[in-house]
Amino acid sequence: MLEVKNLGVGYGNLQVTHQVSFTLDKGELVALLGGNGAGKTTTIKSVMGVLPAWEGEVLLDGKPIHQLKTPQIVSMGLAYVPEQKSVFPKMTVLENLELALNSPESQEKKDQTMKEVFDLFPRISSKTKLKQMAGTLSGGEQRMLVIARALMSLPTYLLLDEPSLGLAPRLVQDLFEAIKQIHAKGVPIFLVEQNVNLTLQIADRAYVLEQGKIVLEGTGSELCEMPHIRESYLGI
Amino acid sequence: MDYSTLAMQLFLTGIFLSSLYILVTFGLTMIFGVMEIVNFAHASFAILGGYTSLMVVTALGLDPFVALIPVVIFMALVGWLTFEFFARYTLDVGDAHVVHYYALLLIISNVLALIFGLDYKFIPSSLGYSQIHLGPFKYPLIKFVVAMASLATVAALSVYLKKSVIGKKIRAVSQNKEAAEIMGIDSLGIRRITWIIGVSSAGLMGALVGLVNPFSPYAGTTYLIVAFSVAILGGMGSLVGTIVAGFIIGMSESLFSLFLPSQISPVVAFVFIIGVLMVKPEGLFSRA
Repeated sequence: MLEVKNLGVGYGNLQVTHQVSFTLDKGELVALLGGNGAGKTTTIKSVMGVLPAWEGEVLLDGKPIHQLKTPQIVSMGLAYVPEQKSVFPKMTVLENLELALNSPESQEKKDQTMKEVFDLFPRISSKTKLKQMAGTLSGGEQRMLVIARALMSLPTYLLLDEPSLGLAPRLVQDLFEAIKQIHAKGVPIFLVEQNVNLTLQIADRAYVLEQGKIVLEGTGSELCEMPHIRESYLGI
Repeated sequence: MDYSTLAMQLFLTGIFLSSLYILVTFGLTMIFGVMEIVNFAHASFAILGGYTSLMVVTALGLDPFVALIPVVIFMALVGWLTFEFFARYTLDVGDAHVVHYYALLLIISNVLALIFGLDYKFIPSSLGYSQIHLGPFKYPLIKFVVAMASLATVAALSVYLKKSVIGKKIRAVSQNKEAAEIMGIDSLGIRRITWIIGVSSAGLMGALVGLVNPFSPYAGTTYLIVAFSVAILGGMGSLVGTIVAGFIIGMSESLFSLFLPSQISPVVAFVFIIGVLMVKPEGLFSRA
């Protein structure tokens, strides 16, 4: 289980998140929702060791990980798909995928994982695409490549930061379908999103972050019914 | 001398210059690409390699080409030490690192001057004044061998970066450091390896060039200027750019030595660079 307890993080002198707590259990898809500037990306970056935690703890199966560096956290099985572009632009799609094989197990199961990943993301799996430089892919394809790359490492937890940001509506549908399928395979997913409507349809549970604090939590259907969510996030 | 002999002469001299320019720039641009460090001390590592070779050759009586092996091992050790005690502390200081590396250049040059004096030295070779014969044409064998050794080193490094797991990680850090870290790549370790490769390749270049041109503790500056010219023309951090720009500068220097006094012919390279940068300020190629 991934447990975040009373996490506080900031930049410079400014604390952005306060007392953020949530859990992600085996097999769950948990979402963190909130508007721009609520502190969602800050929270996920802190869990991954990209930003140091100011206060609180992050526990992975009971072991504290909030003082570890990113590569160490990654080696413990957490895979992170950041919001900004993070492909290696001058490497081929295949080279990008192969760079994620950082454990003996992932190397052993490479062929099988790759087949599964290609089933999820057929757009990047053709022979010509695999030889293409990642920087020449479209924005949506790059996003898919980064998720595919994260899956190649056989993560025990997958953290996605606004995967749908800036994508065309049809691609957003495809992407959420892929996330649903990854979840169905049993990979626990922590999904940070602004697309509240689609997210609540696939999430087991969700937390709502406003001005750096968790203000609501519940199951997807519970949150859908809450007047605050309906007004502020779903516009109904 | 007829025209074909002259053309061949210019061609081979161009290859010779290009090969050395590419080798010395390769490490410089790799270090810039991966570490974001402008290593002013790069050419002084080349000179250190020259003196190391001279010591090994004179003290142990080794053939200078066999001596390249202990030279590279020693330079790798120098690379490791300078990383652990110097370079790793300059990774987060921003542009101020330029001053640190200029200081490193002065330290290395002055220590070499203290130990070896200011006289020009020359690494003796059994190849001496032998010539290779290509039909009616003759060229110094030593220059030919040095050029081939430089190009072979560059080729080997290129293949290593392209194909090996560590090479791929080096390119990954160069292209996107944050993304590399979230892939579990230890970027500090990769920067250490890059620095060691850069320093060793500079030392190797110095050991090779010392077989052809005499050197002194302060002779590195000439190669430093050339290396920066090649790196900037090719695009800082681009290895393909380094190879292309190295040939452009080496060949043009050789060609223009025909029309211009030898002191002026290197200027041609700079004029060329200014011309290219006016049209394409980022250099001919982009990073990695």
